[in-house]
Amino acid sequence: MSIDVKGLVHVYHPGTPLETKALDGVTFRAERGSWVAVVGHTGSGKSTLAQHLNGLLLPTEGSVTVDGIEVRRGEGSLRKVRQKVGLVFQYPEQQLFEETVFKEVSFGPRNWGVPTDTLNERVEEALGLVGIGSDLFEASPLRLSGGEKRRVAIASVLSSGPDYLVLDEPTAGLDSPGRRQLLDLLSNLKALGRGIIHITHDMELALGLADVILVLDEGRSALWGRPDIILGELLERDVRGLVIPDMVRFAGRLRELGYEVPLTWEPSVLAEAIDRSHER
Amino acid sequence: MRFLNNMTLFSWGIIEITREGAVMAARMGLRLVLLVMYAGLLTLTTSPTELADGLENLFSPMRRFGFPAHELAMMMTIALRFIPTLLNETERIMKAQIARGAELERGGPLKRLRAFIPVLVPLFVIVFQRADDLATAMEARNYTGGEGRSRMYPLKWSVRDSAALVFSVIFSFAAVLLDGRVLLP
Amino acid sequence: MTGNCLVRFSGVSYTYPGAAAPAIADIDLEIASGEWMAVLGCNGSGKSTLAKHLNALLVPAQGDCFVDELNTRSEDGKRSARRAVSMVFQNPENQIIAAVVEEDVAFGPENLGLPPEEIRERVRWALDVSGLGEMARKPVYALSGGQKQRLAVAGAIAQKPPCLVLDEATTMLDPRGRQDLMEVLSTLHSDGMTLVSITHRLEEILRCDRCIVLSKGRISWSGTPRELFLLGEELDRWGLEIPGMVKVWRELVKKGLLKAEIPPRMGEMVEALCR
Repeated sequence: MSIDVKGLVHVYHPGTPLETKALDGVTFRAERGSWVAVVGHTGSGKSTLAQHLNGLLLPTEGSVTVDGIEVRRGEGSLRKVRQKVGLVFQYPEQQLFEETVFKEVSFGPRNWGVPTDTLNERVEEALGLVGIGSDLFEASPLRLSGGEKRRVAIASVLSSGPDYLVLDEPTAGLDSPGRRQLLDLLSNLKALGRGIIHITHDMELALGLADVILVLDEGRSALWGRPDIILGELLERDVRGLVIPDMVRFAGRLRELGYEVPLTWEPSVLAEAIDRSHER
Repeated sequence: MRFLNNMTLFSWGIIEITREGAVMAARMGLRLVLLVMYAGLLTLTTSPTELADGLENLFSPMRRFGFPAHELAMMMTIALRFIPTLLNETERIMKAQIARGAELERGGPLKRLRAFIPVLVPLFVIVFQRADDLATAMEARNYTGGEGRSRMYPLKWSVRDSAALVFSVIFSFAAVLLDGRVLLP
Repeated sequence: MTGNCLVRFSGVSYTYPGAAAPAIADIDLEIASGEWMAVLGCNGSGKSTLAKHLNALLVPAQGDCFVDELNTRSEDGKRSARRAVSMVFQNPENQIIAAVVEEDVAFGPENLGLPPEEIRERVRWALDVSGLGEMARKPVYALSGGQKQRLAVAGAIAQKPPCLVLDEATTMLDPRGRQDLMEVLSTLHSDGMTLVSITHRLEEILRCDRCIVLSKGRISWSGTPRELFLLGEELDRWGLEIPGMVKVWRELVKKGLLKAEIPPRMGEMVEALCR
């Protein structure tokens, strides 16, 4: 069970002077129960890719397949795919519009025609997952705090019961407690068997959390692999617009100077290794 | 359109082309061409800011009677500034709601209007928030209304403006006088 | 580098209309001319409320706020605070007024009623400092988020204020945009401008001279960034997280491999280790 992207090409405004190739042959796989980070600079095609994963955009060339269903027009493919793959846009709180939190979160399932008796159950489950208590169910979503709004917006995607969750910069604008809470939620969802596709420009975050990382550069997959492999590659070659975490550059520099330190994103591990190597 | 006493140039079935009809069509066509050319000329020669500044100057004598000349020009500037932003935001919100299963393009007009509520409400929220932020930002940049403001590029009347004015006046008169005379005997 | 007192808060409290608890309470604070100060705290700690008092967008409910020794309560004080302190806000989109880059930068100077010559000169200077010199005639919609925020900085400094306040100005930027903005700020600081960075991101305070931590509207702590980085569980309580590199620095200081005087920057740390 996975999302399979094969040779995906996307051209905006084909045949006009505005023609731009946003994606150029991207191939990767995102499995249920795993966390894939898609990292790249602004304009690398991250957001275009996100929209392909649930059929908001259709491939110019190549294919996107979700649990064996190809994303394309006709045969109800788009409806099925959109229920399977939840898409959380950047600043999702901006999409809130209902009078109450409960109605907001039931918007998705109602659209998909979920029967009323299971609807309430779904909504309560989704709100429970994001940690919004029943005291807020009847509150206006527009009156919540920033962090709560974000979580309600995510619940409003979870309530449709997606197997995969695509999130575009989900931590943008949150302070560190809000960020930690959100990342814990995503880890939890992953443990429950959902596939997480986390789109971000924060390499440090991706290295620490993802099972696999896809690095996009100008619409092409520049790197694809486990964080430790990506880490080594990053030091070897420069990917445009990607800010390599200071700690990684630091470890790389120390290696050049003869220190035996691992390339790691764990501060304590690196400090220990420096200590051991320094004594020698 | 059918005219009395007109001369048929061509007929084919129920289609009948008369001389008067052809002349009328040509005149309408020319008027449209003229209109589009004038509008094109305006946008090609004058930036939106110059236009706003110009309107502000033009209406400033009416300020005495409480006419908000500066405010109108400022509104125009801000509206122009935010059109592309608003279009982007509309697209983004629409996509977000479609991703949540909204069907925005099905059914009759009434149903569609209702289906658009999930797009309209967030847009209103964004726009009001922006109005608030923008007002604060303008205040923080010492904006207190039109009084005492200067301009980076003050408008100055030059020979070119006089020439353009004379040309426009003559051209407009000529257009009015000649309208209805040409193409007819 | 730092000089006389530019801003002074004395027992400042402010409660928003309809709110139960004050947003900030009993704030005593002095900002010296030429220093780079950071105001830290998580969301809802009162940072932005404090920032808005610096240029009289808000006036204290209790206590007084002086800018250049003038109380912001008075009309004169308000006017002088607005001129002495410029602000850059969180959302770059919502603070750009004109559709063309240079016209937006000119907005502030135009409001001050400066002669056209001087406005043009200031616009050119502000755009150059912000690294947008080439983009003067570009439409605003063609700019990236980072460029827009630097445009907001240009618009603020075109008023030639002694002090610039950045209210969460990097929050909505990508890493590259943040880096570019930090470079611009460093330049301004070395040219003697007083800077106040309001943020919850500790990555951004490395170059600051001093920082204060706000928690529930009160000043909980003040000191240098390095002193802050050596604190323990207080940071968690305030909702602040130190960056990975600084964590390594902290561990190395605790192990005695680095002296606390060494700043937590790669170049300096490598040099100190190899000595």
